Amino acid sequence: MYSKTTTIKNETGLHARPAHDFVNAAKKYSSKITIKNLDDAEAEAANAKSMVMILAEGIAKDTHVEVAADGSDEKEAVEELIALIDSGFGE
Amino acid sequence: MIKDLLDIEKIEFDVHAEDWKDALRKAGRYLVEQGKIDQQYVENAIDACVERGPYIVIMPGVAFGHARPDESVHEQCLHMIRLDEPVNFGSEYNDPVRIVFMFASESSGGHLTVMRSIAKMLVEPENVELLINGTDKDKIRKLLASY
Repeated sequence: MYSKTTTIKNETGLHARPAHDFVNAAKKYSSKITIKNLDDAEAEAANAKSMVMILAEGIAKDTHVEVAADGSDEKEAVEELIALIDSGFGE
Repeated sequence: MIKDLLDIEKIEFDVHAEDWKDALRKAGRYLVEQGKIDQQYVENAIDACVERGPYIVIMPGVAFGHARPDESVHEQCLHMIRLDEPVNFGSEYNDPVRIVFMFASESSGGHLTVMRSIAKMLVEPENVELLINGTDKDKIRKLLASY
């Protein structure tokens, strides 16, 4: 298991297009990957390969999130996904 | 949240669409007729897919049509249609599509909240099955009214 935390930077949060980019990046890896809204005590870790599960988290700008992965490519997966969030999804 | 925005009695079934662009135009038609959005908004939603790919197809069978908030939006609104025959949006994982939402908001924060309500409904597989293939329209209306 490998995980990292960061903060959502783009103005509209993880709405459809960023969520889509995030899921497509996650699907390249074989590890089990999750993203969790750390600001919502009731939030459960969402499957990072499911766009609807990510959208159901309602992750807005400035939300703290944790990306965690478990598997043979867990480190690469987390590093790429964190970098993608930190890039602001090109918005 | 869905029920606050969606005119549940006006959702449409067995709508025919020639292709994905036509499907989005049919999904937007009611909202344009109601004066809540201009036709330009629907065209913006189509253009966004042409430019950036079919990211609005949020899961197998379901498209969430929307564009950026601008002056073509007069009121936050949501509509849903179900196609008689599914159409392809060119989505690698999620084609073909039978349920098409059209959503518009005057603010970017509005997108996230409404999309969250719809996503919460769609994470339950039995809800998706009912929406896409269900024959009992009252059950579908009740489902939408409960989110």
